[in-house]
Amino acid sequence: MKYALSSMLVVVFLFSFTVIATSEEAPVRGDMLVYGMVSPMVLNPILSTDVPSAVVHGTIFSGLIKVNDRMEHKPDLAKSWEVELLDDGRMVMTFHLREDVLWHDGVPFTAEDALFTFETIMDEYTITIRRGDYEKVEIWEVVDPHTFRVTFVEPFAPALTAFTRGVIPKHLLEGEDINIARFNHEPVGTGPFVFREWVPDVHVIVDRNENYFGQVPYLDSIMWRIIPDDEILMMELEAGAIDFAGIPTIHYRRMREVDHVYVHRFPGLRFTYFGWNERLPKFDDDRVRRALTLALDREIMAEVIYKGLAVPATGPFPPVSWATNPDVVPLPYDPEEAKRLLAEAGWTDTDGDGWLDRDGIKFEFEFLGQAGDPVDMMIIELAMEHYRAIGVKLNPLFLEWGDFVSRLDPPRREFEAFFLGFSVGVDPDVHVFYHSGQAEWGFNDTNFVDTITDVLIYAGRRTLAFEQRRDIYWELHYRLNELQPVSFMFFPESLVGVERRFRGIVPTPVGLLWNIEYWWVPEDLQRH
Amino acid sequence: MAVIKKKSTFLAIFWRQFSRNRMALAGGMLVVFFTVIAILAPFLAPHDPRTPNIRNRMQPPSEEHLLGTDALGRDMLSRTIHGARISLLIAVLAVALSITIGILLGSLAGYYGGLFDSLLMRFVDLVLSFPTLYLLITLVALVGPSIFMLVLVMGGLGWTGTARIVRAEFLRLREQEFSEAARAIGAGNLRIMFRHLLPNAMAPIIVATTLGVPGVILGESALSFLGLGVLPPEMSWGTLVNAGLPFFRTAWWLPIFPGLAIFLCVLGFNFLGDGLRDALDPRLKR
Amino acid sequence: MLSYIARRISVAIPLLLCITFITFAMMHLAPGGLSGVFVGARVRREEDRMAIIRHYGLDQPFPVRYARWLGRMFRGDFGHSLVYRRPVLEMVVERIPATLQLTIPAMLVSVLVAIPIGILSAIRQYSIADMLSTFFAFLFVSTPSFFLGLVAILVLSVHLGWLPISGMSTLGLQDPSWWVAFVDRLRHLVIPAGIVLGLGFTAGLIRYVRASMLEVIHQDYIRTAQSKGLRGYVVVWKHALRNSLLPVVTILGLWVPFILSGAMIAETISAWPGMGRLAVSAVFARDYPVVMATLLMVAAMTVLGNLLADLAYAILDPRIRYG
Repeated sequence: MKYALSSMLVVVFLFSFTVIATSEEAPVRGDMLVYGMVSPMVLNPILSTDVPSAVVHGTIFSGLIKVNDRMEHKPDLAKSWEVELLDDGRMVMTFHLREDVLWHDGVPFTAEDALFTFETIMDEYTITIRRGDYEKVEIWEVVDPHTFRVTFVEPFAPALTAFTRGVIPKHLLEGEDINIARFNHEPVGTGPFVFREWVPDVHVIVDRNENYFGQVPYLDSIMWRIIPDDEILMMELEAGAIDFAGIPTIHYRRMREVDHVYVHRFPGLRFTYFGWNERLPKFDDDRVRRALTLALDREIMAEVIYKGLAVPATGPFPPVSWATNPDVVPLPYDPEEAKRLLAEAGWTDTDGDGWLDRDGIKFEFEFLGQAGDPVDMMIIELAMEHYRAIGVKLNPLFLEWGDFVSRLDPPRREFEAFFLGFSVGVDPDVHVFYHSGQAEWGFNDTNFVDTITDVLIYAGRRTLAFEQRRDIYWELHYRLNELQPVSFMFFPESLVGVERRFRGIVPTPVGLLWNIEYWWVPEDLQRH
Repeated sequence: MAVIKKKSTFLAIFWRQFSRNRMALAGGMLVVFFTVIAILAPFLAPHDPRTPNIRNRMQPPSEEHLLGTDALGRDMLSRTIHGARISLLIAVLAVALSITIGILLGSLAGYYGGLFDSLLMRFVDLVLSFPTLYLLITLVALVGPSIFMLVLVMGGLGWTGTARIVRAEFLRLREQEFSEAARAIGAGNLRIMFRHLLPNAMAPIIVATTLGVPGVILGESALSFLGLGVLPPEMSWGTLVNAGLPFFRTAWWLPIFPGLAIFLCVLGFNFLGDGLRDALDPRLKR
Repeated sequence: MLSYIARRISVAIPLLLCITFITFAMMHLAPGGLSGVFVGARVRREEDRMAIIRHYGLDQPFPVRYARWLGRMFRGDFGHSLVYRRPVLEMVVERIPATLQLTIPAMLVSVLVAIPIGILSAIRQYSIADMLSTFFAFLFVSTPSFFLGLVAILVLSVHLGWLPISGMSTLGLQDPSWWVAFVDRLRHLVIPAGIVLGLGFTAGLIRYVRASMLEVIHQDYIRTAQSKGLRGYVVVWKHALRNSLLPVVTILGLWVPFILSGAMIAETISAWPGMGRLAVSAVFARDYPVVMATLLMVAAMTVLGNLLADLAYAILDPRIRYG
């Protein structure tokens, strides 16, 4: 049994108005989607940290804006917005909110709710990890009941994405202790589905919101059945007892042969990488890190372990992102060049024991991996072999997520190297990952320091014009691939199996449920 | 001379009892078989159990790979053979640890009695009445599933049964004539305990030891199922089975063979322990 | 009797305290500390990390934290789960029925199956029936329960389609009659209770009943009874059975912890919403208030199980009087 504790930042599933005509037939109402997964934790968008919670509350709550299948920002609770730069260098975003939105309990939605949501996030008392998204905000204000204004201390291009976060109702939460409010398990939102019940470790059910301000869903309900074991999850999908489940890579081939299940595969937003602690002299050398990437046959790994369902990564930007520079190609598999670069950096096998050494010290390191995921473990076991071929000794150590993260996090930073995945998200800002200022407290765990990277990251944050901004990221992408701040490994594809009776599905990097209100089932195929 | 003669007749009786029991004999043979495999693993394994050979991956059983190969092309026979090493090592060390603690505390309690005895026995009763798997997963999840920790935790939690048995034997034995005699000729407490009483309490200890091994092997495999077993690059049977479970229907040889190894080895120890108990327990003698 | 129960419970309390202290210490001193709040994500800003640390009082020295937890616990306040942010007591209590629905049928069926087989094995020692029962007993005692469970699901549920794969009830049974719901629940119980939990337990019990029965049969008073000309089954039922079942009752009480441990595996495989599963996920998330509460709860359940066994013993054996 593997508990899928995903190491990525949560990507919130969002909804769009875009009408997708996938078939000639007219959609009809009815039926229920039964979705199998591990248990969600808190159904409150400002508190949750895990993927299952985000999947569920994504159907219950709406943000001010949302992201569509082409990863563009679209209106949601806000029907429009404008961004202006003030003369003193500050940036102001004004959201014009819809006036026809009701909370699921019938109370009208206003700008006060938006203000309440963000003030609650920023309140030190609230236990949330989301405050970092809004650290450039200076003032939140309600201009009138349907106008919400946010003033930033400086131009901040990534700002918009942070407003996709679900908005919570002031009238139900004011005066409550948000950290332990019953609301977190009986949520009331403005989204396309209304919360019905959550039976712990059994299921969560939501029903169609007849008063939804957007497209009212065709499906009657969604039920998330909570199944902790992957093997059982696959059997249930195969048996038709559930309609929807994420498919672990190792089950892909077999599940594709199940007639009544369609397996969607689509590029995700998550990349994986080998991090090298550059506080240690052996990794504080661009040549060494480049060699450590060159020594890995990522093509073979992708083929053998991911069954071809992953592509070697060239940087943190997903292939579908506009920030991805089409001219950047992955570093090749070139063990000879790797050996040459290592020799240049002073690492040679002087004592003939098969391992490289420098100043009498063998090139070996403790390599942290997360226990539990069979794919991750196999990648590390193959990497061990590839490194052995160039005389570098990787000593794997698999840890539980809590232990793993605490070794990486400040103040400990007790590691030599590790394997981790991260999701950059819809906006390509990589400030927390690679800016030198984030080495002490941020996610720049490996202490990567490069002045040009810093300049590009900073420029990327302050540039609002799209094309100029894109050019900055293309340059940054090129530089990151050259310097290999970490060894970029893979972009694994997302695999999701869905019962064939469902129509209207459009896979996107942000998942499948983004247009759930458009899903429907032909009348003769309806089951529930 | 008299002592030796007495011993040999005891052994003879034991052997007569034991060898009549075909199950016990079969169990003994299985135990010897797996022990030899574990000790000689590096010489018996036809391939390197750790080095991936991806051109060879997911091969069903064949002449070259009797038990097939895994997702990274490693020979399952070699991996199962090396798995025997880790599984039995953990089991033997954990049982040795728990037996040592059990003997020590049990004999002290049984010999001296009094407050120490009643306190210890209360403690034992209570630990015995606690679902150890709960404590086990808590401890292992927190400190990480290294071989050392598995031995320490499983050994450290498993001594209570032995302590009880040893105490009961000591209580019975210390009132008997030979300990009176030993005391009369001025033997020290330690000497009486370990030279005179302990050897006479050996029978139930041996049975407890034999029956302790399967518990640890099954415990480790249950921990593996929960994701807390031995981790790569080391391999125990539990980890091998657990790694193979996703392939139950696409590559049946991955979970089945290590599973079979666990089953046969545990069965062997259970047969042997059961036979030993029958042969050593005077109350069941016919 | 009452004072006996009181004594048993008062003896259990130090152990429970001991267990809570050790677990609490481990959870707070382990590398990585508490991570329940951050499951699946990391805290980006130092200020936020400090806010969380202060919120959970982690800046206090460990003994203070333990004393505080203990104080609240005695007032019935087990705190809130770090992960689910719900009252822990509520979370634990709502899972007890599921665990009982799993373990009680498992024990009942095991007893009902194991006692006749064990007795038969003993009175017809070395017969074909004895050999067969011994063989199966060893088979099931020696196989990892999760392995048995997965094979059973593959064969009985996936291939033959006779039983549901997981869960507690079938979807879409809208307002079924109690009888339909009951049968549905039984069908869902077969694999987790009958196979994952039940087979190993039954097998162990058969061995135990057999040994206990053999011992009684070989005792003098049975032989005396037989020599007095009492017919075989009378001897068995009137004398041997009663005396051999007494230790079985005790062992049932002692095996409560094993059943609860087994339930952990069964609940995980069969997606059964019980305490074991809660404990497993809480341990992985280092959700310490939940871990502490589940440990206390299973300990309480075992103490209760032992007490019930003692009571049953007293009822079955009139010679025993508890002072």
